[in-house]
Amino acid sequence: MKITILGGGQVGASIAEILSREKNDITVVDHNRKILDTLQDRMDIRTVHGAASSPEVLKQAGVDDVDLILAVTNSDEVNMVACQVAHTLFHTPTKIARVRSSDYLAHPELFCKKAIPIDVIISPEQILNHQIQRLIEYPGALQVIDFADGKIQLVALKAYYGGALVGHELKDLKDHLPSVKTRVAAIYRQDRAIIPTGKTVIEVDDEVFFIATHEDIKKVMQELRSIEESGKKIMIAGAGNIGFRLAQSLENSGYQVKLIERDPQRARWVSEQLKDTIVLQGDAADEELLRQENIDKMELFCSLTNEDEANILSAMLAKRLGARRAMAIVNRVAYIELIESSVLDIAISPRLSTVSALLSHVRRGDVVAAHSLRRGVAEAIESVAHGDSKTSKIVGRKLADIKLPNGATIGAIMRKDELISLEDDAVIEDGDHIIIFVIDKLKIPDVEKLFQVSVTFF
Amino acid sequence: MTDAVSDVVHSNREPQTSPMASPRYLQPDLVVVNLCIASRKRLLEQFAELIATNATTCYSENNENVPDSEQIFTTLHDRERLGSTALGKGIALPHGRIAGLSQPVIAIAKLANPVDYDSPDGMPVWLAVCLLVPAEANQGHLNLLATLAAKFDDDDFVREVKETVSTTEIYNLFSDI
Repeated sequence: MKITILGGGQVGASIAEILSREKNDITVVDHNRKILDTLQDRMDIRTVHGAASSPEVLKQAGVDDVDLILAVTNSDEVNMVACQVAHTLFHTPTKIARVRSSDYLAHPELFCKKAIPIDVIISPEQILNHQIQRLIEYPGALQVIDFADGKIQLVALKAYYGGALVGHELKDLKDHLPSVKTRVAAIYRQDRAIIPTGKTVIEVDDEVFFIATHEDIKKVMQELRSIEESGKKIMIAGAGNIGFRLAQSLENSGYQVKLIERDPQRARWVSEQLKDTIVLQGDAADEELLRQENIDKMELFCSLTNEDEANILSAMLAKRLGARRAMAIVNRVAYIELIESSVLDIAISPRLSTVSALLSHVRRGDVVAAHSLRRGVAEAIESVAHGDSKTSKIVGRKLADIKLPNGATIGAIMRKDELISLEDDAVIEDGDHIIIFVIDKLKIPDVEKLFQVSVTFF
Repeated sequence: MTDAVSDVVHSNREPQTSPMASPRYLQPDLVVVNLCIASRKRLLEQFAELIATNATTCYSENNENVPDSEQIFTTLHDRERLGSTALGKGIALPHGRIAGLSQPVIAIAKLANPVDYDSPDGMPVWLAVCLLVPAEANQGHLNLLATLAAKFDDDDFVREVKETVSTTEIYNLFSDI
């Protein structure tokens, strides 16, 4: 596919790297020549220097020939105008833009063909907010990802002593939970992926990815670790947009929230907006403050400021002072690898989340959702099967007969809102939503091919 | 897109009707040679414009929803997303269903420079045959696609098309559609 990426910042660069490795034809536009030079040293892409919304620059970047543009410059306005220019002058079929300001996002009617023609809006804050809320909803989960419109979830968690299935073969899960349709899609043991079979024995410390419906997730989680009570007390550090929005959603769902903000003016403004949240003005790394505010009674401590280091340190401190779990926003992937699971419970990367959100729209085929996992090494894809036994490589075939690429497993099949049991003789039908877990990103083009219909499909 | 329909498309790889009896869906003014474009997107766009401006006779008279080029382009592009319509040997068969058509429309473009098309054999595309059928296409309409695909199984035919330089000659080579 020919793709133009506007903006070579963190998100633009990450997505360019992923897509150029998958043999796409990538052009990156940025007004900073230095950034473009660095990118070009690292990857096989074309770069164009100039303003991302300029018709002349876009023409030079070859937008007339591309299937897709991704507008991810730092400016919402530039992203929006660039999509308008691409639409009007070049009829670009798919236009995706990052829009941060909640001011614009509050008016979805702005984003249509007749107004600002953007097909998909990526809002990092909304994505993070949703992601953190899901993690709070399922204490103990390392990652919770929605598929099939939120009807099912892919959950990652660590197996601990006390889980009924730990030390047992996976096939025992069916005896433990006869009424629950679930499938373990992948297991990571000491950072190595294992493709699970019925005979795989779950060990302590395994990172297990499973798929189940919303109602069944807690039952499955209890098989893998002892029951955790989800406390209602949460402390948030940083009342930026993310922290403020999270506090707002949490207080509406009945949590008791304490929010720490360093800047007195912001703290006052936030306290006026929030109803039940206790807003504290101070430093989240202040041991005295944390103790006074009963950090040891907190179910969760979330540090959500803009600074990686501050987030990591205050979360570490909170954890040492007795907070049950600690979560931090961390942009640098290298830091995430250092701290996750050893120092902190969960590190969330806004960059990886945004890239992951963009992915589903650049995948070939009728892909409904795609999520990058394990810091971008693995991916889970929800794709719709089309055609029949003649035009499709999967429709009309039994699961046992489908040749999946190595390292790919079928995690779930949704047929008309029902989860299908994954028996070997289950046959895939036209319109089924299939969730595939891919442990090795290099296999993704093969998975895409599997879903592609043949030429004669109408 | 039901199972039954696509099933039959496949089981009828051979043309059903004799060339003389079938109506011609290819109009002379829908054949272009030496088309200068650099991408699949531009090719589909050109087809959409060509058909929207020249193929008006194919739309049903009472239908006010005559599709514009944008609609045709979107249809063709969406179909490519589900899987490339490139056959291999440098040939592609972009196609789709269009509401408002009363009968199938076929357009042919020979390209000045081959373009990337995500083809199974990796060959860039130099010839594209575009087929649009009514939204409620009958079996005969759907069989056209298999008929077209089958024509290119014959390497001699492919060579002949490749060596052809004029629109009239191409039109004559496809005299059975």
